[in-house]
Amino acid sequence: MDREKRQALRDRVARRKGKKPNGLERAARRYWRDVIAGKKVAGGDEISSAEQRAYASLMNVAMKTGLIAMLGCFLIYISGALNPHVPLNELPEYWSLPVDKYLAKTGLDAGWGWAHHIRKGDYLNVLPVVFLSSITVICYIRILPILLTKRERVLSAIVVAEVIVLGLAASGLLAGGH
Amino acid sequence: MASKSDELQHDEHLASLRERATYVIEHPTVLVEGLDAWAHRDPRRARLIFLGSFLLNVILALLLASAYGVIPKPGPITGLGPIELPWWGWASMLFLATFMLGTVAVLGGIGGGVLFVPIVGGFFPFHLDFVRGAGLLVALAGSLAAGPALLRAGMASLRLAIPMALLASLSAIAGASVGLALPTSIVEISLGICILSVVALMALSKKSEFPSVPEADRLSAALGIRGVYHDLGSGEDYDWKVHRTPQALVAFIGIGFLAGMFGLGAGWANVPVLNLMLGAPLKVSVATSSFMLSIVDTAAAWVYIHKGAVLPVIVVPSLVGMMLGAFVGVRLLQKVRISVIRKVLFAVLTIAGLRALLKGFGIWT
Repeated sequence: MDREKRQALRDRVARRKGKKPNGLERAARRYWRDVIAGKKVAGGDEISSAEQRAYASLMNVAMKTGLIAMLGCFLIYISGALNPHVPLNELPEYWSLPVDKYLAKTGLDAGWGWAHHIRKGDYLNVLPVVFLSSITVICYIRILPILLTKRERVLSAIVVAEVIVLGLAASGLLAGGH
Repeated sequence: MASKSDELQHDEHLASLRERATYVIEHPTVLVEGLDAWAHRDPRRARLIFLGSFLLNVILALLLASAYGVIPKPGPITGLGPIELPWWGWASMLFLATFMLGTVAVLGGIGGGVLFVPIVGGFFPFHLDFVRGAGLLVALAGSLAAGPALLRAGMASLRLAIPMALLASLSAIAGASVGLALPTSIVEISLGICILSVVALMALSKKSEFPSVPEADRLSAALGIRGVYHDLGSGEDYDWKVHRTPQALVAFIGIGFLAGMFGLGAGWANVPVLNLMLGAPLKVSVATSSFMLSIVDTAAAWVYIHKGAVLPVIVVPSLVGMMLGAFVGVRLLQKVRISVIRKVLFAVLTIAGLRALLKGFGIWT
């Protein structure tokens, strides 16, 4: 936007400042509130594209599910409903150690070794963490068909590359350590 | 082969440089006058740079003096001695601390991730490996919570985020692996330097609400990086495009590496690159940066999960505290003086950065 247009816009906003919003402004605010809440679509494809809306919807549901699961698993952990691998009152002895010494002293394995202890209260909490870390991959897979339908080849290739990178990270092949 | 006129120009240029250098050496007041004129033009920046460099010089001098035995090592400056608390005591304190951090982070416009690691790592008994893992997950959860609304409103741009996030996530994995492989003292020192640099960057960096982008470059045109942004304040729609895309991609490699290595959210670096380098509008830059964290931090978080550096008793209270704090912070935004909060935040970050630095040198353990 060039300087004159910006200045004209500022003048227009300044003239309306201090005055009560008129009917059009109130309607605009209601509209954008509904857009942010997901009840309406912003300007069709121009402002928020179909893949963006699909990504946002799936991300919203998945994020809320993950956070609720995380709280639930944490309550199970601290209530003692499932015995933890490392008792809670012994945790202060270990949490100041580097992670490799922590694993050695508690007899745990790195990588997917936590999956063997999923019935223990502390390692049950890794499940919602893993779920939250997988949301991005799920959302990328969700938008891939939309991008391919639109013939967005370059963007589709980048999405596939990102899914591969995150998949490799999730597999544990790229994890380094002490 | 250079022509005679090129050689002549080069020689003249060298000669003029030599003349200028000789003049400054013979007349040192010229330098002082130049600095004085610059300080008058931009006194705030000059003050910040002077104070910052003075402080850094004092610290370096003390470190060198203590290393060479000129002054005795102060030893562990614990004062009160180690605090003994049960696990739930530390978890509760962590919840309260992250609640306050979440509140002031929103008020000060600084991401919670950059506050979490230095403050929790510096003042709680948890090892830095676990703190970094928790920091990444806290930043990730915050980004996942904010992302849907920003995407729907068109403020965060998927087309802008996806290419940048690919390189950033690759380097975040590398950064996380390197960070977990390095000795803790080196990570502490590097973290201290990084945090102090973040403070300087935040204090000195400019922002441009609508940067001028005369023409989109070829790479951004090929990737389709453009969009329309609706400004709620003015009610107008703005077309935006970006330039300097290759340079920004290189910058994101570095940003991703730091984010993975230190477990920081990368918003402090993403926004200047998106806004000043690429030329995206400020609100689009902030929103896209917030969304991008969900991709970049995911990549690094997997490394920490596989190394076992995720303790639920640290992650969950931090996450809940930070999100509740952000919720309260949004409500307080209109009632609090933001400039005061930012100054307090800068002071807190500076202390936390110095703490990490001195902890790494074994001076303040």
